[in-house]
Amino acid sequence: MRLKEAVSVLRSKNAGVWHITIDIVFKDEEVYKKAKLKLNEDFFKRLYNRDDLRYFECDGINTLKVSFLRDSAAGSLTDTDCLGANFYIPLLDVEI
Amino acid sequence: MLKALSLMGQLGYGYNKESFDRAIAEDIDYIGVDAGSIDSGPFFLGSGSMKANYQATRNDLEYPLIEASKRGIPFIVGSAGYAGADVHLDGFMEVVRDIARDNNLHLKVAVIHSELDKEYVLSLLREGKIKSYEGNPELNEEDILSSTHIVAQMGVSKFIEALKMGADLIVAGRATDASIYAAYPLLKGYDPALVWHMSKIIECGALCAKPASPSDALLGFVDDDAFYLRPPNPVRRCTPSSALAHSLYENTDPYVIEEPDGTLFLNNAVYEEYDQRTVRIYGAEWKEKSKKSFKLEGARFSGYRTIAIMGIRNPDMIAQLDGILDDVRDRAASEFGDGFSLTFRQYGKNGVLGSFEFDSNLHEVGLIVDVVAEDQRFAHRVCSVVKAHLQHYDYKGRIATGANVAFPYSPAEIDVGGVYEFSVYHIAEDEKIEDRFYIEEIEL
Repeated sequence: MRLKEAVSVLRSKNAGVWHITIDIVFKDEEVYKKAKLKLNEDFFKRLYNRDDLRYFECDGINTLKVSFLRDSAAGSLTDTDCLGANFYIPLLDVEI
Repeated sequence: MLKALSLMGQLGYGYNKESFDRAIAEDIDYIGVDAGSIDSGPFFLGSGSMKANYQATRNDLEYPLIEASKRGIPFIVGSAGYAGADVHLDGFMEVVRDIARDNNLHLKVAVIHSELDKEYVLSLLREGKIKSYEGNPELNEEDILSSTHIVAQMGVSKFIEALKMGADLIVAGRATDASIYAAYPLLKGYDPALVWHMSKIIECGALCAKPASPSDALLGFVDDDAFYLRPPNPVRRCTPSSALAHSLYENTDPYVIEEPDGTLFLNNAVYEEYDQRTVRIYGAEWKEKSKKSFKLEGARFSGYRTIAIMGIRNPDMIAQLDGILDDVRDRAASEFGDGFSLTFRQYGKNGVLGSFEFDSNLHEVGLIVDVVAEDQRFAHRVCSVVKAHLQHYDYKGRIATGANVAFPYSPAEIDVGGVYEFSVYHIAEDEKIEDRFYIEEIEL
């Protein structure tokens, strides 16, 4: 199953000027537990190439959340996405 | 039970009159609306411009303010004029004055300022009271000195003071979104954990409902042991999952929400269906801070921008594009020296995800030549020359000697004007910052 078929919400957004946060809300507990076998902290660290990424398993609400520093501040001259709203896209087709 | 109305997620997005009429029929105790953010980037804080212009602000404020005034319901606006500097408050008050004059409203307005002067921020830095935030760069004196405006996100105390003064309308500078909604119920003695959790969710209006909308209203009710969320618009509903998903929104940590006044912990929060359109929530914990902390925001001018937009469709040119752009960049550097920055944005080729891009398929590239320089004429000149180099670049195997690129616009060079960047986004720990916020009382 691809991740986009397993979730009710999959989004990224700025958390302030310097951080991106990604929310992955799964449709139910079963698929959440299955996804956690693959989507662990190391997986996200590799995918987003961030050693200092913060990873949260929100068991009661079947949600994974990761947060990390942006390449550059929102809206700076080299920034590509001022709202940080497209950083979930590498996750869409990940097989879980 | 106390009843709050969140007019919408962001003033200026176009409010829903039917929702407002339904909500106000419920005998609400106060109305709140968030009018600003830093989401749209550094331009608004740096330049002092309002994102919602005069017409957009007046459209969303006029009718609700008239109705609130008739009924004596306090109306609270946070981050007025978008970025919350004094110049934004001035722009917002122009709208308020016109509405009051044209509708013969008599209002006691409390304008709360939260712009800080640079000397003061420098003194905080020198005293070691400013820290970086989850790993962003340390602040230095140049960051402060180069900022055009620096504001602090205020907490609830000045809102509470303004309510005690009997303000009909509070127009606050930069404030945390939740403080807009938390002040009134805290003043009335409700449980801080319930109040802050509710305020955190309702500040985005019907964004926490299904279907979600930032332009529609949300009702929040708080009593002694829970709070309740319900959209006044009957086509929407709030469910445990919609409210819960929203409580994660825009925070790096799903369970810990920092406010100037304290910290909200959501680990044990419970979200229950109350009826088909209402969710009942309780169980968060609130810990008052021993020393208040404030988020500082600053932006600085970084030059004038000129862009040229062009499309590249020839596969041979696309295959060599990285080398072509490196070469053109070198030529620009040798022709013009420094005093400008040149960025190539390649839409169709890593333009959105940058270093995170994983899909190598492409057949055309939308290229933006983006030049930022000390003055507009220089930016224009560099952009024009770089554009010409690309237009006529003699890449290997070139057989079409007309022009290499497609220009959708004439003129190809577009002067964008001033460009800003964030210079300050840091935490300051000092109770006394609050003394810098001040309330201006205006009788209209």
